[in-house]
Amino acid sequence: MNGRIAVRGMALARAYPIIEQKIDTGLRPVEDTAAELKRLQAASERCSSSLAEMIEQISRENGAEDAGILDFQLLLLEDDNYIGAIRRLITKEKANCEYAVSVCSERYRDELASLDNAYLNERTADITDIETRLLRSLTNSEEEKPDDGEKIVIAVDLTPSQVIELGRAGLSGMILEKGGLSSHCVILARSMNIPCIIGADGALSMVREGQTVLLDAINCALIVQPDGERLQMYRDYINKTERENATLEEFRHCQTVTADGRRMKVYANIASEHEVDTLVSQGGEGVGLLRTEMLYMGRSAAPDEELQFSTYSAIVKGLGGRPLIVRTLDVGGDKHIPYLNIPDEDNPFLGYRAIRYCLDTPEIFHTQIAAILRAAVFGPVQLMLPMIATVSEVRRAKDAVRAVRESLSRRGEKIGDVSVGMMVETPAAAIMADRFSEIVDFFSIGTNDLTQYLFAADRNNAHVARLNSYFQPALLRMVDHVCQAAHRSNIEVDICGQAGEVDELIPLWVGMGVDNLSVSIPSIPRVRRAIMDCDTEKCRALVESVISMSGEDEVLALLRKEVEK
Amino acid sequence: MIEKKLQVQNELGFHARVACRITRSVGAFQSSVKVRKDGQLFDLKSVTGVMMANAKHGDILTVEINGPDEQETATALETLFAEKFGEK
Repeated sequence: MNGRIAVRGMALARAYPIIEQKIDTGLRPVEDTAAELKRLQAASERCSSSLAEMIEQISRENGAEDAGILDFQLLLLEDDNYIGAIRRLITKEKANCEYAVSVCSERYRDELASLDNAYLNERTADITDIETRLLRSLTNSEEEKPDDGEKIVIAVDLTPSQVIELGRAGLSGMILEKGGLSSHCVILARSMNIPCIIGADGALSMVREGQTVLLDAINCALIVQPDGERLQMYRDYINKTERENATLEEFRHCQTVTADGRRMKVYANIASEHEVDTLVSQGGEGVGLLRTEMLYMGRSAAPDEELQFSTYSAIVKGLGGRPLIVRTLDVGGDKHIPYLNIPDEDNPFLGYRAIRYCLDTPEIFHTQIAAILRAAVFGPVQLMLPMIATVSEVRRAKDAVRAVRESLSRRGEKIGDVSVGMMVETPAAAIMADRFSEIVDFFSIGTNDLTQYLFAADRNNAHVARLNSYFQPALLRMVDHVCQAAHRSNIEVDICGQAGEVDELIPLWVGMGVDNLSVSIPSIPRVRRAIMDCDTEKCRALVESVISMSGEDEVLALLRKEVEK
Repeated sequence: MIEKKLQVQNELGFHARVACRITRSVGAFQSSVKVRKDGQLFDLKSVTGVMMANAKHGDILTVEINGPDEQETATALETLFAEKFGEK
């Protein structure tokens, strides 16, 4: 079957194809508005009750947090501004339900998008979600609620809430005709451990609902009505995996050492102090990336030094001696933070953001630096500069740190030692790694953005997302080059992007001499185990092989073979 | 009618998650509870109203309470605001 493996694994279950029906939302005037309103009421009630059921289930299993997305949709169905507006449109214009739902949802999305509030802007996806729910319930064709029982879903694409919903009702595997390796959907599948294949053109035409299928996301195949031999292969795989998973527990709290005795560390990427406890309990050896953008969002003015200081200190204290690497503000036009006064740009990802903005805006930059320096009194803190492209940016940033240090001393504030490092995420920084390594204390390679900039392909653009691949030799050469430069200057080099935790790539990072991998909290034990299986010399040989290859297929083939061993 | 000035303590303001909590908490009162902001009234019993009020951390909101249990509602609101509507 065409496609690429997004989440490795195997699944055996019945096929559950999801065929998107294009629902007609054109205006078809109705005579009997009372009947139309009844239709709407019935559909709304069906949606409410299925939402309420899901919320109850999720709250029981996962806690109230995850249920929040759905609760919002439930409240919208009771909200006069939403459902009330739909009713009024039906009555006033003798409109059919579908038209009214579609028009009012669009208006509501526009209203939300116009607010100067990043959190609310993002809720437009929820409006689309409830709109789709209502429309489906109105057309009454496909019963929205999936039955229980293990199933392998096949669809063109899925929304994150669909993945969550299906996950509640026995999702064994996922096949998407579209999808991208770094789409939200895939990230969810990975975290839920659901084998997943994407880019599977024509998969929907290969199966009928209810057929037993074997999703082989190791060899990238879909076997309909598998025979005895395939079933045995599946059972062998399941047994092997169960044995492996049982041993994962012991990798939570041991040191990270390669098979040949080289010490490394597994850090985690976090965005708030609320994640520190989980990080520690999952065996994280530090925070490799503290994203600080959340501190700046949903506010009418920048967070002051005291607020930042109290947040960073809380994290430092919670880490109990483990290092904290704070990334200074990495935000741009895409996040709609009005008080930063970033002008509208055609291309915010290539624009006035992160360090570029901060160097011009001392009131923001210096405040953040001050809070970081002060928090360093309580434990080891490192400062990391995002999106660096030139040596002069580093020099200016270090000057700023010096200036803030002096001003805090004059104020009589206690400050700690903070090493200053940089994210290597622009190709410019990667190429000039030798120079940069002489003027910073450490590197952290941001593979997500580095890959995008390197291949000039937007990971969210379905047409080109394919190009954005960690398995391309171009990226691997670049990372190796950065590592070599770091070693020559005797500084540490970390990886904090998603690529750091991809099973097949870990031997490469070990082979390149990466010092620390900063991964998502749930992945910590798995990544540690993978590192401990690696012998540095053998891994170095692997690196030499891949960097001389010409394309990702060769690379993937070799790496997958290695992982299977 | 009782008018109260209450400060938003929630770190991220009245973002979508907490908007649900607010709508549900305020919905329990008999009296109407509305925020007057920039010449507009936002109904805190409606999740849309809460969101459109676009309240940020530190904002001091003018809240109008109207109804048979307005005294109790006003007192309860003080606590709700101070306790960030139950947000951690």
